[in-house]
Amino acid sequence: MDPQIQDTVDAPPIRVPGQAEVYHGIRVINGLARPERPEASRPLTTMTTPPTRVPGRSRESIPPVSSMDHPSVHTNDSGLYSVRAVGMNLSNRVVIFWNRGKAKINGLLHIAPPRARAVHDSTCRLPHELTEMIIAHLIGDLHALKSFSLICREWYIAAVPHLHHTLTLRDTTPDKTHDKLKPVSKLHKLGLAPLTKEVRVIQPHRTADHWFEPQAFSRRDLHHFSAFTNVQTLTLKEVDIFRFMPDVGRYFGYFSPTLRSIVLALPCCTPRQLSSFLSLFSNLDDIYIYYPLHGSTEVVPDSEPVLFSSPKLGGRLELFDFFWDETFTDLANLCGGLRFRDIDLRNAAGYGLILQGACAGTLETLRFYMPTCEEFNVGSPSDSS
Amino acid sequence: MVNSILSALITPCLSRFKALRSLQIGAWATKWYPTSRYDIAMEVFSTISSPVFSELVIVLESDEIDGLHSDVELFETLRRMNEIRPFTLVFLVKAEESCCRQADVLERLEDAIILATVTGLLNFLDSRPVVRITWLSTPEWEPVPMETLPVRHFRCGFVPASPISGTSYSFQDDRSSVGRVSM
Repeated sequence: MDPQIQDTVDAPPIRVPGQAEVYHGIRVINGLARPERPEASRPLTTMTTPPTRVPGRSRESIPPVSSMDHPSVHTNDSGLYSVRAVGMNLSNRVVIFWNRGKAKINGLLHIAPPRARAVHDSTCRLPHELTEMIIAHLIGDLHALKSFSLICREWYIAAVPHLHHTLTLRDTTPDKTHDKLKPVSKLHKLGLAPLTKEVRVIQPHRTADHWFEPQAFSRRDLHHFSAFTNVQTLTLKEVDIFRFMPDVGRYFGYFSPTLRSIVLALPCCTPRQLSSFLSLFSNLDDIYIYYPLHGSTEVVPDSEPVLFSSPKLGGRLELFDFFWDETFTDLANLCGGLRFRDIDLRNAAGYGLILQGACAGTLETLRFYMPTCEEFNVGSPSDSS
Repeated sequence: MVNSILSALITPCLSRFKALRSLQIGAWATKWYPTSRYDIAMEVFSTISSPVFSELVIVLESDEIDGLHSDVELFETLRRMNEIRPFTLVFLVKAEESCCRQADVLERLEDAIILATVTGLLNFLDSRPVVRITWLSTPEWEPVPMETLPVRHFRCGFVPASPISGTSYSFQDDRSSVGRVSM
């Protein structure tokens, strides 16, 4: 035991008649006082306040308050000693033991006074970095991400940009065309449209069931589309682009300032219409075109291209089964050359223009595929002999 | 004769690309005349004049990994290329997320490269070959069956095989694993 504290405990009590004093929950009237020990006047709360709970730490990990570390406990013990010394009556002793027991129970139950709550709130928050790490594992699982967002408001705020990152319009309801645009109005109503970074339009591989066409857009739908101010990627699968001509800007112009990447799978249009469509997006960097469909001239009317702006076209170009030289000739003339950094051409006749110097100063990565026998109709290797 | 004509038709000249850093060659396992396949690769490679060129990437499908170490002619072509212009050799595997485990693909590829190294096929390299995996996340739509595509769509009657056509609808994922094989 610390000799200094031992000395203090063993010191004889001083009696102050007629003075009331609080001794750690023990109200002593005409009792003993220890004026030489300043810690003797500590209020009850210092003793009954449990140590602050830290989230993630078990109760056992919190170091107990020892009598050696906490002088008020000594005071309490010494108070009992002093009371015994002078022969206090029985009712006062009962009060002392009652209050002590209450304080111990409160301590065991960790009943904290209101002022400790502020400290508790600041320590219970999960660091934002950890929240982001959890979200990174859930991004592919929309259902789990939804559950995650329901935990608390803070987690909802962290998860909501990922929940609404991609808006997919597909043929979930075969009967009504306008129902397919319902997600657009729903996002607009909830004010979540600016969170959407990618819009996908997925149509079935049957021409008769195509629904994404100008007639599907009401004035309200067009207004709702205008709220999508942060769309960076547009994916259109089997969209008849020729149906939107020549007022294509009315339907897709909202994406023009922010769109960086466009993916067209089986687009149906003419080469000139395609160049017109691509020129709509002034900040376009990446182009992915797979299997473009040239509709017959009766169905798809061709016309002189209306070029809206000169896209940047400084990112990645990926063409599969693409033979429309006119498209990129128009764009190269419009932009004063092409500036793609990565090019991936598979069964695409892009060599004619692109590989003859259109991207000569900027091209960093070229993916080149070995040709196949079928590509040149030369038959199998065994036939050649 | 036929080979030389075809080679002239399809071989791009890369001499104009002064900023070219990386050449990626895909579809090695295509049914092509074996000798022409490597001749074409050599011819394309020999036209490179970029001063910053540093990387040759062999693009492989996941089912081409196992036969890699037995393709002696491929490594012989790579050796000849390296004599013309030294490069860092990269093996890039395109694997679909739905059907492969990342660890399995990496392990198979590393085994194949180690086998090639043990047999001395990669002795010409100054640095270790690099391994990359590009994960093709399956998009929300199903790949279109090739038989349903209109015939006019394919020039010269080319109809891609179904596994390749499946990946053509997939998009390159940002998550790509990069590793370096110890030799």
